[in-house]
Amino acid sequence: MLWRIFASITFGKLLFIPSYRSTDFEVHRNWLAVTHSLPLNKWYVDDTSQWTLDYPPLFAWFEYLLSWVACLFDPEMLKVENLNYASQNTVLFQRISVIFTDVVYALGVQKCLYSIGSTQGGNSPTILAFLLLCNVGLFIVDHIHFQYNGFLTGILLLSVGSILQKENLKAAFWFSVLLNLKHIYLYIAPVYFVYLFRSYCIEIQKSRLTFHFKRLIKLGMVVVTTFGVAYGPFVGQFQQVMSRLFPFENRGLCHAYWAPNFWAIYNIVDKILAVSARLFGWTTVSTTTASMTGGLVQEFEHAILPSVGPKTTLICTLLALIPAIVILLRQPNQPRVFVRAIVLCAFASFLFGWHVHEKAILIVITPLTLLAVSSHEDCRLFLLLSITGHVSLFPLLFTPFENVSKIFLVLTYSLASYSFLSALHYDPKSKSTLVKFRSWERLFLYGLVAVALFESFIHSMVDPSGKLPFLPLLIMSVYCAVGVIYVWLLFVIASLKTEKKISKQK
Amino acid sequence: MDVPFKLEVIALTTVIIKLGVSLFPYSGKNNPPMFGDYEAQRHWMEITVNLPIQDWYRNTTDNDLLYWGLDYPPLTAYHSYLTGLMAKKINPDYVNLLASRGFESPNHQFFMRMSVLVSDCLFFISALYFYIKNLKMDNKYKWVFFALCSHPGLTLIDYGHFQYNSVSLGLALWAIIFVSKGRNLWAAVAFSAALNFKQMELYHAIPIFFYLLASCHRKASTLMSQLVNLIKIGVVTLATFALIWYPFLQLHDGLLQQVLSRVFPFNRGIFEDYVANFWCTLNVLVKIRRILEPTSIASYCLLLTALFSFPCGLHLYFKNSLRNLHLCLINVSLAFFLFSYHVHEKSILLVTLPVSIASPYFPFTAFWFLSISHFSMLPLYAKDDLILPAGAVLALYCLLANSSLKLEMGRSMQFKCLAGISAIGSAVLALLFLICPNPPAYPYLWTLLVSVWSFAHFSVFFAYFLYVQFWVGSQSLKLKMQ
Repeated sequence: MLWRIFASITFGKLLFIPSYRSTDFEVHRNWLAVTHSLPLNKWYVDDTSQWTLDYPPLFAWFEYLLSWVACLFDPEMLKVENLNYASQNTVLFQRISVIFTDVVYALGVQKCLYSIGSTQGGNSPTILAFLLLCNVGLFIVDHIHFQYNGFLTGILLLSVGSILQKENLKAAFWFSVLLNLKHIYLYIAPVYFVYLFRSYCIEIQKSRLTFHFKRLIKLGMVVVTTFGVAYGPFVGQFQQVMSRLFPFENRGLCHAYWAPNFWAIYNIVDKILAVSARLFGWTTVSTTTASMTGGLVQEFEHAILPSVGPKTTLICTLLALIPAIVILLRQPNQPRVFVRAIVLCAFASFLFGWHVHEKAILIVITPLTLLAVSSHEDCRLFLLLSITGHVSLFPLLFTPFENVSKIFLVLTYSLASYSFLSALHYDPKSKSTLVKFRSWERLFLYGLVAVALFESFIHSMVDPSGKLPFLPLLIMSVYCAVGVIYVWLLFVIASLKTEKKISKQK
Repeated sequence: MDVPFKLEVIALTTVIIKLGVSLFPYSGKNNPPMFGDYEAQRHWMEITVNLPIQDWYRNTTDNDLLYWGLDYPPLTAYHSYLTGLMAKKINPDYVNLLASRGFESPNHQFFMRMSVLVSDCLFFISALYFYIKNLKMDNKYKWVFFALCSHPGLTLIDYGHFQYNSVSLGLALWAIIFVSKGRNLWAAVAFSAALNFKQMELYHAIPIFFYLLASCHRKASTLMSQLVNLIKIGVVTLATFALIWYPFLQLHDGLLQQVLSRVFPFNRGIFEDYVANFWCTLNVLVKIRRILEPTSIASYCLLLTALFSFPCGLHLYFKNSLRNLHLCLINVSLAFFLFSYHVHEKSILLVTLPVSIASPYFPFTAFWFLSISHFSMLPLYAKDDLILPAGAVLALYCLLANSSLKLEMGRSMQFKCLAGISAIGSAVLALLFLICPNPPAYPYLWTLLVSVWSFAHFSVFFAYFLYVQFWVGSQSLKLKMQ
């Protein structure tokens, strides 16, 4: 069944080959060219194109491998000077490479499918496969906007699946591979550290603590070897690689489009206070900060509230991580608790991190999907988060066709997930066939529809000359942030509760 | 565990598939001077928006009939007019008289594709959804039924090649819906509208006529009341026609004749290019165009078509039931496709509509027929650069409608073998068509083979559907999806 679903969605992806591509397309074409045409020592140095290589070495190797297949389609794309080269064969090759590498995603899903365990039984593997493979956020970001997140999420799922199947060394291996492919996954590294340390290296039996030193060594070896293989050839230019991977200059608190996180709300509250202060003459603080519609300004100086720097965001993130650490320490060796911790960690990084991209919401949604098939509360939270998160991706697609497609894509996926999960969690006693949302949650969703329509159509009709171009983005970002924070809070409560219930049973 | 909203989800999925196909090229893209059907539709918007109504079908300095002159009945012209008004509002360059010939741009493509989607939603998808939603069928089969009816051929022609078949087929489907609910007058209005959108709906006229005739008879007891019923239908039909043709009836200076000669052009040949019908296949062996006069060919067409159509129609009259209506629609439209005059390969869509609607009786056979009809249009897709979407949509169709296989599983080994051979043969022929160049002696060899292969299938299906209509009793032909 999994492969049938995968085949169907693959043919669907083929149909969207000619759609809009973002600059990420040129980014990857450039990386194909750089890795293919230039010697190793120039990979992280070359800056012919503004889209310099800023992913870790394994991804560079990945592009290198792809470039040999690219040769067969159109060798011209591999010339570094051919900036913005996009012949038909180039587009075809790149799109197919994303579609093809999604096989890794399917393999990852397969690994997790039967080990997550479900109290519902029956159809839950099929439904889980559908929810993961047809995830519309991945579809929009990978197959329209253009990125390789399916491939990367596949490796993450291979790692998570290994944990679920208690193959801890394999999990460490896959996660190290992942970190060397895209370092954004450092966000969830703490969970791995704590889990593997607590559940794999330490064993508590009848209040007797054993520290498995050998296991720690083995883990260390796996991680070090993987990093070694990846960074080995670049040992000489380590500084240069690091500066490419972690560019702290020119990156502000928020991306041009504010990710729907805590800082978006912080920004808007600051703006409101600043405007009120001016109107009511509370202070004489100069409001030289850029107008809220000048979204391109990335360096933020807050007017009323204290300015936030990278160190502050780090502290907030670490504080938000506490629930994850708590449940990992108190309930070791429970794979489902591990998944909860991943979600909590991803949430913390998304909500409080520095310069977070809106696409990062997918790192929260994917692990949460694994939990959605088992408990009713997680299912509700998954639905709320996925609908909100996917709508928050709307500003990525703004060309006419994609403007219409995105609505149908998100609507269909949301309705399908709602239907399938409702059927799965059918409770014969209460005879209700649908997942129940609280009344304020329903109101929020109706509001979300209005915001989505405003962003897609209404704004351009009401303001054709584009005097306030960032208004819809602002509204979208703040509104979704409210939803994301709400789901986070409920999820924290649910995670701590489950944990408490089980520890009581002990 | 019944999944709610499954029908809605599949309906939305078909819209997404259609949006995907819309991204690909249309007929005649980047191909001056004549371009293709897309330019024809754009040109009709230009003509109807800029010229007075009397000139729409007439050859004037502003309206050169040789450059995609209007050749559909007035309802298409009104549809073009309304769409043209919207086009004018969005960007007058789309419909500038004479200056906009061959206008192409991504935004324009978006506009045109959306006009197809809106028309489709208003007429066809609404009809299909309404029909299936209210059907007495097990919920778990409804979505398969919907998926079967949204077959690749219709998607590729309307959203790829570019046409508005969804309007006329949707109206015809509404007529079938009204008929099944006993609302004969509304059915007459809907069908007249369909006929006035595309004259090819004549393919469906005979069954609808006989069904309505019989239902007049069935609904009333006395001859007087039966006659009254019939007259009511006649009046409603005539009124609909009159309303639509009103602007062209007024002026008696040859305008009506002019419009009719555009709509029924008998000066065109018996077939154009290669089409999977009887005449084209016969032409391979016997060069009929050289032997016979066009007028005698036309009479043979009429004879053969009538020979197959009227018995089916009469059978429907005497054994009046919905099941027979569906079968008669299939048989008459297939007879027209196989034997009538100047048939396009796209006309198969008129047969696929009743076949898909009748699919609950024979899900796999319907699926097989719909796949072959998609295959028969392969040369057209190749011309339009639509091979990738054609293949992808077919694959999706096979995956989504796959459950239909199991529904007719009681079939014999021979049936499954035949189906397998058909599938493999079609796949091989498609590959040969796409990869091998034509030998210089026979420049259209592969296209011809595709037509002949499709014709072979259609004839066998025709024989089967005739057999089902006439010999299979209603007890044995149970609804498989119940």
